[in-house]
Amino acid sequence: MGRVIILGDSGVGKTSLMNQYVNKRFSNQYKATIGADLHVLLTKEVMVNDRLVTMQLWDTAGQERFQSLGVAFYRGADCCVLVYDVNSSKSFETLDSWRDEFLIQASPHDPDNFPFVVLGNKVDVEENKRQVTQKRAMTWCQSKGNIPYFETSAKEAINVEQAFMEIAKNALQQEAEVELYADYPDPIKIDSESTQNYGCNC
Amino acid sequence: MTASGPSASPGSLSTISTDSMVQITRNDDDERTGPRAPHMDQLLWSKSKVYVHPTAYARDNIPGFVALTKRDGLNPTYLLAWIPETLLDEKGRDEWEKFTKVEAKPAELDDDIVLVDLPSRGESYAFSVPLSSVYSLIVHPPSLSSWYGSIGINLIDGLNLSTLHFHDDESHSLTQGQTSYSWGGEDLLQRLRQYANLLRSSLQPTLFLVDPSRQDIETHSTLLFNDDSVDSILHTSSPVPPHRRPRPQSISLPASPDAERTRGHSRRNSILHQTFAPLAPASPSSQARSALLAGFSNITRATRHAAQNILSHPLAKPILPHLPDPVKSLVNANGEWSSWVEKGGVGEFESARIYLARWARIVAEEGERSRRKEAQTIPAESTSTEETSDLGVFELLRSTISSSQPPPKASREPQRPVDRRAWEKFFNKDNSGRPRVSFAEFRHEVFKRGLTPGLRRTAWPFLLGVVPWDVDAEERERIWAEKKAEYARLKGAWCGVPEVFNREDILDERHRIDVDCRRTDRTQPLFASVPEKRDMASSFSPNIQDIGAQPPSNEHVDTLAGILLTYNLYEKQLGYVQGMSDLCAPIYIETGADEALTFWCFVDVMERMKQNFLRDQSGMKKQLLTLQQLIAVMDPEIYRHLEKIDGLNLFFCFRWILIAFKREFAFDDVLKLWEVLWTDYYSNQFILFVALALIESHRDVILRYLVEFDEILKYCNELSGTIELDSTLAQAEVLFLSFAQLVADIDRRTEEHKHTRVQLRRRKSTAKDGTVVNAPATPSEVAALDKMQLPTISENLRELLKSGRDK
Repeated sequence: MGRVIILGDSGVGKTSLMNQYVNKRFSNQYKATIGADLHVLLTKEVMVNDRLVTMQLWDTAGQERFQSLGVAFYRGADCCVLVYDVNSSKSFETLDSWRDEFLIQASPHDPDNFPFVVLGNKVDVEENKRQVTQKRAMTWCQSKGNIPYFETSAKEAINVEQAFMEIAKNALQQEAEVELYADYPDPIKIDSESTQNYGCNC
Repeated sequence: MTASGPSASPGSLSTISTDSMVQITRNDDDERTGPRAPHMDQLLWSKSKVYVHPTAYARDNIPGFVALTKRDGLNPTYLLAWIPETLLDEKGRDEWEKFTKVEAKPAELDDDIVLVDLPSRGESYAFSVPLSSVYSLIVHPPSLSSWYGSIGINLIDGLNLSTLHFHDDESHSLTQGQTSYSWGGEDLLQRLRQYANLLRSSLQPTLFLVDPSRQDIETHSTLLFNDDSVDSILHTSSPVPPHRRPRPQSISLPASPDAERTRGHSRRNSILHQTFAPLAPASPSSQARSALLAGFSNITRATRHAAQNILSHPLAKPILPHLPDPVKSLVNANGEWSSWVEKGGVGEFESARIYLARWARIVAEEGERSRRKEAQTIPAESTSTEETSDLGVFELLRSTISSSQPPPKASREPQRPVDRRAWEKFFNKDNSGRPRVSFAEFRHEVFKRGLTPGLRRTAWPFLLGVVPWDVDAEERERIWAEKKAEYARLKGAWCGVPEVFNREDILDERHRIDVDCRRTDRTQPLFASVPEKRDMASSFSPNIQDIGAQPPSNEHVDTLAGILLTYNLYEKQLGYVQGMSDLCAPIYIETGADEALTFWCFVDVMERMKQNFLRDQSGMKKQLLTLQQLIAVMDPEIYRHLEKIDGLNLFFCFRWILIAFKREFAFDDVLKLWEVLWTDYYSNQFILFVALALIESHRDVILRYLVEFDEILKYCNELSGTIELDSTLAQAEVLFLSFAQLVADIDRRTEEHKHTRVQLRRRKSTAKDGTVVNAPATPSEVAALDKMQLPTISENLRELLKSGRDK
């Protein structure tokens, strides 16, 4: 099972993306995710490399005040999805702090290689409203260790399936690596070769 | 007898009436048996107004007759048939009369023979099948969720026929003054028993096997699983490790039919009502299985995904052969399910269990409702039953504390809310506006009865303390005028002041507030409308770059945002926090979009709830801790369960408390709940008892199915919109009163303990000093004291007993 956590400013469409992916639905009636809503959890079976897996998607509140609650859920995450609204440069500029906050709170085993996926959402809105170019977003993603990047629209179901497939793949791969570490209590004994066996760079 | 000639369209009927015989013929090709001459079958039994429900919509229901017929031959064949009324309509009254005649008087041996020709499968869901081809029936007697009750028919070849719904209230046997009040489906089963061997499965009580094979008899007769088959199956075939499996229900086999009947009540120990009340007197066993099967009936409405989940569950395996085809196809389409289960793919988070839990809850709620209904129809029993149910928690308390006090009862009368007339009676008739009743009395009335919707605008400001109670109208008006002016001043600090409005920090706050207001209660008429020009910018966010792409606003959404921005400046320390828009919007609606009144009511609501929004979450943590302690003293079993599954943080209650159940109840119920909470009648933190009431009403489901923290979280999140307010409040009240009694009891006993200990110590010391060296308190005395280990009542818990606020 892959555990995925979705972070990003309030109103960028985190809940919408998850609902589009899991329920194939979009509604204008989503409410702000608050507090414990951050644990809304959706599962979905996806086929990844001919394996049937369950995904746990943890929706979070956009307001940082509730993030202290999320620490417990950060810790178990196998993949972290960062979402911004392409029509709001502010929501893009905060990705850095969302990423840092996650790495601090989750303290993953290998922070440099922890899988993130970035989604630029709301690409259905007219082009003249757009504030963050694809190039700008991709440059940022590259600078952070080649984070996979997708431009999505939860409303029009653009790229959502593809993005979450990538997310699932990343989560599973990460999970496998975590298991590997768990098998060897002393991480120092793991040489780079054996990690490479697991870390398929596909 | 002759057929009336080939009919124009396949499947249509023709009828011939002779003096004592009526017959229907039909000339069409039976796909199964190939072309055949029209058979004349003897109509043995018939039942009208048996419907097929092709869709979930009542308008699509198709009425018809279900019939049993006999086809003569070397070995007579008995057939089960359903004919839609439309087929009979085509041939007019005579056709009808044949069926209604037989319905009124089922055929006996010497009767006139009524002959009909039955359609085979085809048009309008019609069918006629030999009983020998029927494998099993799935029988659902009428229940509260399905008034009519239904019978599903599975054929030996794996096909299944349309489920038949018995609309007995429309049926001729009743409308024509027949006295048979048994359910039509039961009549059919009775009649079928004359022609076939029906075996009710012990595995699944709704399943009836028709002329079962030896193997099936063995499988479905075994009593091994009597009540816990689900668990047994789980335990033998589940790849789920033992600690993750649902707990078996601790019910022993009923000793007598009487015990069986009363089990629903005697089993209860610390729950207000029996959530697993028997479904129906006819099938009291195995609630879990009922839940599972009830689930299957929901499958058409559930998503494909849900169906796959449930079918992938090990529980589903033994029942799979009996599932209707479309359901089975879900499994087959998946193709993975068996191997998946066998490989142990039922993962850490087992969503099937949540579906099970949800269905169990629905079944339990139905059971509870029918139990209440039953209690109402039998007045003599009702009082005792209700008392027992109210006893719930108290029984437990009594067993440990042995209180002598009577069990508490709920006092609310939500069916007669305080209306304008009652409200006017609270005040003197001299038009001074001075109240005749005390503030406490007023609050008590609101707690007990609630307010009619039209009165809220008037009464809420009093309840919340925006205007004082014990003054006259003049004074009140003076105070209100001040507040109104104060609001204008506060708003003026940002509104129309660009250097404030566009300041960096205000920009951030505005963004936060606007994004939330644009998605708060947008289904309410005031907020629902969207101006013609669907632009994303608004007076509150003139610059779309500030907020990104958001749903369009309207004037009321903008006003709401303005109120919250004003509050943000009024409570600088706190600022705007997500969730506040949820608390403010209903007030705005109920005050009729009165901006200043909304603001001040909101300020007073926030005085009660500010602690929820503190940056360090200390207020929420304290409340959740208090709730945790409350659970520990009121229901130790649930406490231990939560402890085991790492659920003691009570995250699943977070949203409930944070925004006072705003997202859990329907809008109108939220208003009713809030005004009850605002009365502070029993406790300033009555909300925690509401939360406890909710946990209690789902305790069996939680204990039995939810064995992971994330499961309980998902389950509780999904309770939203399913909770009945008045019964929850009644439970909360009883819980509060029980808690208050418990505390009083504990205090009394602690005093007694102290006294006893002092005496024991005295005796000890005498022994030391005196000649008898070895005579401390006797072991039995010590044991008695230990046994009376009383729960500690923390300071947090004692605070729950405080009511009323100083204003």
